[in-house]
Amino acid sequence: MTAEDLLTRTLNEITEATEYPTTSMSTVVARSRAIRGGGRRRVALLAAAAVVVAGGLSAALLLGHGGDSTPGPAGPLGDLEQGPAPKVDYLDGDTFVTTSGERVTSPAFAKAVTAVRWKNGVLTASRGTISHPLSTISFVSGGATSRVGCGTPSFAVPLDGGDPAYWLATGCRLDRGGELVRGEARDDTPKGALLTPVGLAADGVVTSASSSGLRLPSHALVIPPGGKRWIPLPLLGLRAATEAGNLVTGLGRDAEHNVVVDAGTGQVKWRPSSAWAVGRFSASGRYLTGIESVGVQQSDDVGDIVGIWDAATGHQVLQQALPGLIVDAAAWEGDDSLLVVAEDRQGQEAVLRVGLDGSVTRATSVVTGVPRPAEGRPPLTTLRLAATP
Amino acid sequence: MAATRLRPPEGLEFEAWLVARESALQRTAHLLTGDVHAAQDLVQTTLAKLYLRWDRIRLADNVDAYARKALVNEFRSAWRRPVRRAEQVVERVPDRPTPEAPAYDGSREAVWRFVSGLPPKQRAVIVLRFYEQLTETEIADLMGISVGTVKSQSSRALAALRARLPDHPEISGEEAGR
Repeated sequence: MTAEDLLTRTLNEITEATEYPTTSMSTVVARSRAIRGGGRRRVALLAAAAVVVAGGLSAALLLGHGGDSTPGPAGPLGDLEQGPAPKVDYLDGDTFVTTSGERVTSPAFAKAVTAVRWKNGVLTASRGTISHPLSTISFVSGGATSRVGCGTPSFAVPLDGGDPAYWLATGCRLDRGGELVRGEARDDTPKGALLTPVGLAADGVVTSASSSGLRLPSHALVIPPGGKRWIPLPLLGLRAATEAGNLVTGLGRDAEHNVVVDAGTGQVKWRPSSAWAVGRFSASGRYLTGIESVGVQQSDDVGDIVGIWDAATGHQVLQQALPGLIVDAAAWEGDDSLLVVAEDRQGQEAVLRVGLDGSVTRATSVVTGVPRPAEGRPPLTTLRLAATP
Repeated sequence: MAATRLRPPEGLEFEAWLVARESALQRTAHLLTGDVHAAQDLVQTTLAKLYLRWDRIRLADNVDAYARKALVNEFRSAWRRPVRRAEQVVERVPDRPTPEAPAYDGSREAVWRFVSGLPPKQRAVIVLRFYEQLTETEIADLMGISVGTVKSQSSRALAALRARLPDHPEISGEEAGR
């Protein structure tokens, strides 16, 4: 026997002879709360520093020194100037509001994560729960709401106003596969894979495919019409794709860093800092947005930060701090401006318009929502942006 | 495209993974810390941090490897904290010097005492190499050190062990005399 063998044997014997305690989920959750509390304090300091830096850059611009960021104080929601209505449909409680001001009401909208106009009605997807993790997909038309099935809460929407793509699970089960639906076309998808379509490219539907079990890795895929040839993309978690399908973004294969990838070559073009939750590409694919979440804070000076990058180069075009506000979702108005749903600490909400020049205005009036809990899963916001290309 | 960030059903997945894999983490943590209670604390901190980032971690190709890396990193962070390294909390101030470690007697407990007495970095390398059966390259990657450092740490620990082994009943004379 060698010393190496002796070590291996001894270490195994020690562990086999020891009884170990188990950790309950409540312990994990309680401990994570304590850790997150500490982390929040650190993030708050960083964000406060970011505001200070942003303020400095703003002053530099006024003095003619130039710079990339054009931040300014966003202030409380009510103090922001009211601008034009959103150029993106949105949900307000149980009402779907179109860009032309038309309002459609249905109980299905109250629990909807997202929705999209389709044919003579609105497709909508609810948020899943712990016991029923799949989303309920419904179709609201002519005052009636019909259930389409269960799936993932995401619609991939084409620029030309054609049919959106979405995924339905067979039998409302996580493990039985499903169908990728686009208009009348339905392509079967494998058992054990949950698809989340995020975009429509010339080659097909750009979607993430995650495992309903624990073992299989997740993939980003382009699924051409017919669904017979799946093209893998070098990403784990997929967030967005450009309409042209040339760029995709999401979580890299190291499961640590965000990446922007040339979908044609698989080459990583640039890496947004992992502090940002990367969001959506603008309509032409020229810009990419991201949100740096700070979470619930006690100080009015601290809030989420919106970032905009040149999608091709990674050059940051804008970094806009929104003091005192939590940003929940973002959607582009073409290439010109970004809409975000913002909440203040009292639970008031509004859709804000963030311009590429750093201007921040309100696109809706302020509505009363539900205050976000300090811990745990936040409620759905009263205002939610509809799915966009 | 959906305008809202998606929230996958990560809660269920995490609990299932916790049930399946916690005992493996507890065992490795015990060998790293040398103490069951310290191991429990280390595992709970690691699990809490994994839980906070589970929506990302669940997408990794090898969740278990990610968790092991997190555990070792947490262990390394703990031993680097000056307060923990310099101070040991005791219930009473001892009125006599702490006794010397007993001499090596060839038993399992003696080998375990030897491993527990290694410096933390060396101990981590030994546990990963001879318990987890990782390669030197995998250990280097996991600990964020060079392969050369892994080799030297492992070599020093083995040399120290062999120096105590001449009389071990199961070690060949050639091996013990190296």
